[in-house]
Amino acid sequence: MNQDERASQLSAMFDGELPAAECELLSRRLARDEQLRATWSRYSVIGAALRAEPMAQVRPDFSRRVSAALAGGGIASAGVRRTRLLRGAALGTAVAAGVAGFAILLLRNGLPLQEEALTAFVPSAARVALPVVGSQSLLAGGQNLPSVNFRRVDASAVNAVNAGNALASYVVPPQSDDNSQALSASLADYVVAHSEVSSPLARGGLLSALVGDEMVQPAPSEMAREITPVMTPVMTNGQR
Amino acid sequence: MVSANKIKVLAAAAVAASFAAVADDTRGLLERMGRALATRNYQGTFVHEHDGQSETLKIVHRVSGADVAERIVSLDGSRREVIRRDGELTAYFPEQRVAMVQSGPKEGLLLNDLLRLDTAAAQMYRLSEESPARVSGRMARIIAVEPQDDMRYGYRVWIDEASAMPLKTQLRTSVGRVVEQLVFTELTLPAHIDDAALQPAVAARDYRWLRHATTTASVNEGSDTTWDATELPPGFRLTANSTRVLAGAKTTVTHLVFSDGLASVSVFVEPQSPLRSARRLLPGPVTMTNLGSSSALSTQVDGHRVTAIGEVPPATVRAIAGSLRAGFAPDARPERGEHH
Repeated sequence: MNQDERASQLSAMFDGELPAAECELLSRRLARDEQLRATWSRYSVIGAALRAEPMAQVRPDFSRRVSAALAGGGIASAGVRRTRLLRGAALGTAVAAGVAGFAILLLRNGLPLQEEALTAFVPSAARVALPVVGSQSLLAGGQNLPSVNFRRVDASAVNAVNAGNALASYVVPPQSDDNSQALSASLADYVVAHSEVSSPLARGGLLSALVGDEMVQPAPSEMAREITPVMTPVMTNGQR
Repeated sequence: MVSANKIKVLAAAAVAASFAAVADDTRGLLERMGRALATRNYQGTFVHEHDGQSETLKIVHRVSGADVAERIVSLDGSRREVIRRDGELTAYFPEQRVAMVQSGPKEGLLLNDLLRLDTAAAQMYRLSEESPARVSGRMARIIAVEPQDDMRYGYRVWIDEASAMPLKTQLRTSVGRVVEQLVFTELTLPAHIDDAALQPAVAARDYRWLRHATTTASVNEGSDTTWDATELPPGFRLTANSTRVLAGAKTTVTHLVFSDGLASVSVFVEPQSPLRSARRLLPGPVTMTNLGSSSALSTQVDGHRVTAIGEVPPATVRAIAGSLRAGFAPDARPERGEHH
C-alpha cells in the first residue's frame, strides 16, 4: 500500500467510513509512520477548517504528545464510533459556518509543513468546542490522553504570522493528480451571482451573511480546488 | 364538462383576483418599497439576526441614474466589508488580509432591485396587513407575505409610511418561525452621498487580491447540454438561463434561475469528471449548507456538479436540484421528450 492509499484510508477514517479493523491497523501505523502522522495532522486541521471551528493554534508540542499517546497503544475500534458521534455533533453546530478564506489561502500557498508548529486559523466565532474533532476522538480510546490545548488567536497575531513569520505552516492537502474534484467556482461566487437575481428582500440577508460571521467566507475559486466549501452532509443516499 | 385544468386555471385566477382586490393598497405599499429601495439613497445601521446570532452592520446605498453603489460593513470587530460598485462586488476580509473582487454583468446588479410580486406569487403567497407598530421610533405599516405551503418562506415587513423604506424585515417559515431578521436601528435618506462613504475603511493595498471575472454568455453558448427540470416544487418555473465563464476556470457554468414570483433559487451546473482518491476529503455526494437564511445544496447529476442556492427552505433547493436532468442542445437532440 503506498502513501497515497494510506492517506485515503486516513481520510476515510476521519469520515468514519473506515472499517474498525482497518482503523486499528491504521492507528498502529500512525504511531510509527511520521509521514502518515503529518498527513493526519493536516487532515485534522483541514477538517477543522471545513467545519469552521474556532480559530485555534495547536500547541507546538501537540504532535509529539499525540505520538506519545499513540505509542501508548490502546486505540480501539471504539474510537471510530466516537469519531462519528463527535463529527455529527460538530456538524450539527457548525452548519452556518464555512471554509475560512485564510485557511484556504494558506492551504493554497502550500507553505511546507512544519509539524511542530502546525497552525490553523479559522476566524469563525467559537461554536464548536473541539477544534480537532478527529484527533480528539481518535485519542479518546487510548491511554495517556494528552490534554490538547487550543488557544484563540486574535487578528493581530494572525496578521503578524501572515506577515512573514515562519510559524504559518499550513499544508496543502494531497494534490489530486487529475484535479477531478475541482470546483470551477466557489460557493461564494455562486452566492454573489445568486444575490444578483434574488429579490431585494432576500438580498439584504445574503450580503449581510456574506459580511457576517455566519456565512461561508469567499473561497476563491482557484483556491477551492481541493475543498468543497460545504460542511453539512444532510443525506448521502437515495437522492434522485 | 369542465376539465380539471380549466378548474385549476379558474381557481388560480380567482386567487389572483382576490389577492389583487384585497391587497391593492398593501401591494401598492410593497411596490413603493421596491421603488424606494431601487431609487433612493440611504444609509444606516441595521442588526442582522439569524440562528440566535446577531451582527450589527452599516449600509451605504447610493443611486445615481443607472449606477447603484452599495457598501455593507460589519461593525462587530471583523471589519469585513462588501462593496458593490461599477459592476463589481468587492469583499474585504481584514482578518485574512484578502480582498475578493467579483465582476459581473453590470446590469445584473440593478436588474432585480425592483421588488416583483407578480401574479405567479399571488398563487403561492397570501398578502395581508397588520396593525401598524413602531420600529426604531417611527410608525410602520406591517405587511405579511405568508406562504401557502412549506416550500417557501414568508416575509413580514415593517414599512415606514412616509419613505416606504423597510425598517424591519423578517423571513419566516410557513408556521411563523422567524428564520432571519433585519432591523434598522438608524436610517437616513440623504440627497447626496459622498464617494468617501463608499470607500473601504481598511487599507487594502497590501492585501492579497483575488479577482474573478464573470461574463455572461448567451444562453448555452459553448455547451451542448441543456437542462430540464422535471418536477419542480409548486409555483416554481424557470425564469432565467445564462452561461457564466469564471476566470481561471476552463469550463462554463450554466446558471438557471427558478422563481415562484417572489423567492428564487439559482442552480449552477458545471461539468465534472469522476472523483478519485482525494474524494474522501469531501463530504458525501449530496451536501447541504445553510448560508444565513438561504440554503445551498451541492450534488452531482449526470456527470455534472449541481449547486442550488436560494432563500427557501432546504427541502426546496433539494427538490429543485433533484429535478434537474441533462438533455441535448436543440440541434443535437434527437427527439424531445426522450430525456427528462
